[in-house]
Amino acid sequence: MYWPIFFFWGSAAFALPNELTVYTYDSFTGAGSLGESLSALSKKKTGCTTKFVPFATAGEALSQVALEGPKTAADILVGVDQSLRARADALAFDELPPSLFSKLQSGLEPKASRRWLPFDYGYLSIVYDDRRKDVPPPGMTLMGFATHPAYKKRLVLEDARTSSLGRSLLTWTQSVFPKAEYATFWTSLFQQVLTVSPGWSAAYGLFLSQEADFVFSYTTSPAYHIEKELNPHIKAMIFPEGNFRQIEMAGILKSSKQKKCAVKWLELLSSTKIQSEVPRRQWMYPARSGVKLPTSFTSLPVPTKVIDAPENAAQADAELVRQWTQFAAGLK
Amino acid sequence: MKNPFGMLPLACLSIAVLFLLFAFYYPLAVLFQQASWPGVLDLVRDPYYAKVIRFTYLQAAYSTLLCAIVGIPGAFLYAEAGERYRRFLSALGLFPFALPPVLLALGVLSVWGKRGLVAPFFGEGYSGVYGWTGILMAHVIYNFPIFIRLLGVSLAQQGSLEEKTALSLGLGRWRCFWAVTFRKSWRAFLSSCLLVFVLCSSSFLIVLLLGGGPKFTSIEVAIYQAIRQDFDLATAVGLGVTQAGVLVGTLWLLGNRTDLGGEGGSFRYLESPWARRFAFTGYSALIVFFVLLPLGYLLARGFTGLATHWRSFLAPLSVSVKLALGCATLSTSLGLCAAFGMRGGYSRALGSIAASYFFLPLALSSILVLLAWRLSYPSSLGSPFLCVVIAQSVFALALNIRPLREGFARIHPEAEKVASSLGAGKWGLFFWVQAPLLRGPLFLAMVLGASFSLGEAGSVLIFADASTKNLTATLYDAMSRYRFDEAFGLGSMLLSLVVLLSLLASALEERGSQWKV
Repeated sequence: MYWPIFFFWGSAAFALPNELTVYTYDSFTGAGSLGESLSALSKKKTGCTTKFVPFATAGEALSQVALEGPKTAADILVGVDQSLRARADALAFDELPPSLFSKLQSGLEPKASRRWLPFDYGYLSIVYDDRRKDVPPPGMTLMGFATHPAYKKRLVLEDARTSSLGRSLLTWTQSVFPKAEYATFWTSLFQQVLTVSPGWSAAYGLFLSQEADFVFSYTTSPAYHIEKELNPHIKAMIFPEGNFRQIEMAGILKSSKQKKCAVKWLELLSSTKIQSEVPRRQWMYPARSGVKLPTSFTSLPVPTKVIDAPENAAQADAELVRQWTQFAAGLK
Repeated sequence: MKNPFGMLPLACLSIAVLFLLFAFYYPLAVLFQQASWPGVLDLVRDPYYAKVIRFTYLQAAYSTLLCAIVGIPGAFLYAEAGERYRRFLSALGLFPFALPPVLLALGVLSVWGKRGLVAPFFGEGYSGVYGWTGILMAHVIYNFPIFIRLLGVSLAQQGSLEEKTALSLGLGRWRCFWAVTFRKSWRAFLSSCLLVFVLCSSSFLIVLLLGGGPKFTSIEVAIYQAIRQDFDLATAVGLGVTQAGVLVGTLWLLGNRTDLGGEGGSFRYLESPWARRFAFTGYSALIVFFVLLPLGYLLARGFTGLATHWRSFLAPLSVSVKLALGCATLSTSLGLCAAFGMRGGYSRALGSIAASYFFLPLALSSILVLLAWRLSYPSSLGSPFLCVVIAQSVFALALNIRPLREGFARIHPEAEKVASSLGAGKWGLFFWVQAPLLRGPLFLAMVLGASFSLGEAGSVLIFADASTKNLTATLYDAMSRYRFDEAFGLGSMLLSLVVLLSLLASALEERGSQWKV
């Protein structure tokens, strides 16, 4: 008889004293991750232990918090970006101490509420390999890329129905283009699309296996190839219209019984020690100012114009995604 | 003969029923309670979702048809073949359950993609197999071996008496196969069709990766979007109910009967050595080109990663093996309990209800099931390892219950009668008569359970901690951190493990069938 285990298994999660439960996306945890490093530091410096509950995406982690409601086992949620923020703001998260925000890079400080602490960021871009044919010239615009005949069926992008990166692309292009041009852009861009992938991993896999020559990713993606493979040929496009800045944030649940530990944990997340590990563990820029970047990052081009989502930007909703699917199917 | 087992079958069935009640139906009830119930009819009337539902079942029907076209000759050859070729064919049957779809998709693209092996033959304008072609091709590669596994094994055990009689009465060989041999195994054929239809209609990554764009939206994709992006539980539950309703309805139509075996062996249609050689070589070439070439590419591509990182793969390998053993043991034990309990004595309707009860986990969106688990059992306080084994066994039980039921159905009542008359009690009957006769189906059930566990990552991500990640979960993890070489290395290891398991299983199955009375 196996069923008695379920009573034990199913009994509500109880927290050990000084144990923080952190809901986050999978790659934030595990061997060699930023989460692992932070967990060890937290135990050493504050005595608070960390229990990670990993999810496939940050969106899924947020959904879990919403589903569990006020009884949620989570103390901290890590990985919310601007596309998830409207949904996250509807839930009960605490205002954070102002001191946590004092060392942030300019442009990352919250304008209204202080419920979300930025801990890293990256710029969205189209990534390519300069050894393949028809390398995009410097200064090429987003619209120029979408309409250039040489790039037909050579791009792989993430699906807005299943990927938060895909949805960020909708927010980006909505911010950049007026309504009429937005439709033209997407109708044209789908001419360049070889295939649409469920998420970043599969899309990047297709790009590396040379199935597609261009992929939607981050301007920091080339840093990985420089650092780990000594390969300087992977490049990211800097667009005159601007590159969208995706900011990852963390927040503390109002229902948390471990508030002290949680605040200390976020203090460590924004400390110089952990922030200096962000580039090589997250392959993103650290949110704290004055953190020394590795050479692989300093050699990367930085966008001349940064597109930020408005503070109160709603997540690209289901209707917008439906409209996007119609562009893809050639129905609009 | 009076039932020698008394209340034992009912007690066994209760164990399996209770297991699913707590591990599947209770979480589902918790999820459905959370969702404000939408009018499912309204959902179907919505033109967008109507199109999604239509596409899902259309692609599943086309895929099933194509799998049958490719799989029936394979099943026929399985029945005709010698031991070695049978091992080769039945080894293919495990890939659908053990190979992560993302790897298969990348393998298919390595041969048929824009830069694939065949691309130079199609010229500059060739842009790969994205769209219907890609979806159907991957579904066929993934699922046609199911026909060999279920239909082929059934054809090989139907005996040859009727065929000899039919041929002696002047029936042609072609007509004899369809009218006599195939007819005897038609339930195995329907089982194969149903299983392929179910697997294809809940296909997620294949549709997304090879469909080539949002014009192909399946129910599974729509559920994923509703749960993970829009947080629209009502729509997700509504779609899940539609999906489960259609599939359970199909199962109901299929009924509760299983194919009864004949006297063992099968009639050989291919007599001429030339015809045999031609058939086996032609079919092997087809398999090599469409199945082994993409898989070979994966092995080759992963070789560097495997050579470099093999030490770091040992921990997830050990977890994978332990989980596979755990899942195979638990799901087979429960399958045995259920099949033993469902053996005869029930009306057809009651039998169908019982079959649907165990099959539903396979028919319902895995995304919805994972969400239900998250909600009901947010913390794996007992043992993460045990939680994963239990979660995986819910699905594996749905897969292995049919071969076990067929195994029980093939036990000749005469054997039990003789043993009883010689004084064997119920335990003696079970251990000395039934268990030896069930060796073949038991091996198959164990292998199905182990294969499913090897390829599964969802429950590992939910319940396991960092130290209990299996090969598949580690592979997805590596991909999400740019470590594609490592991911392909893990893929190679996984593939090698499946090949080994398949070969071992085929050998054991073969031996098991020799013990059969």
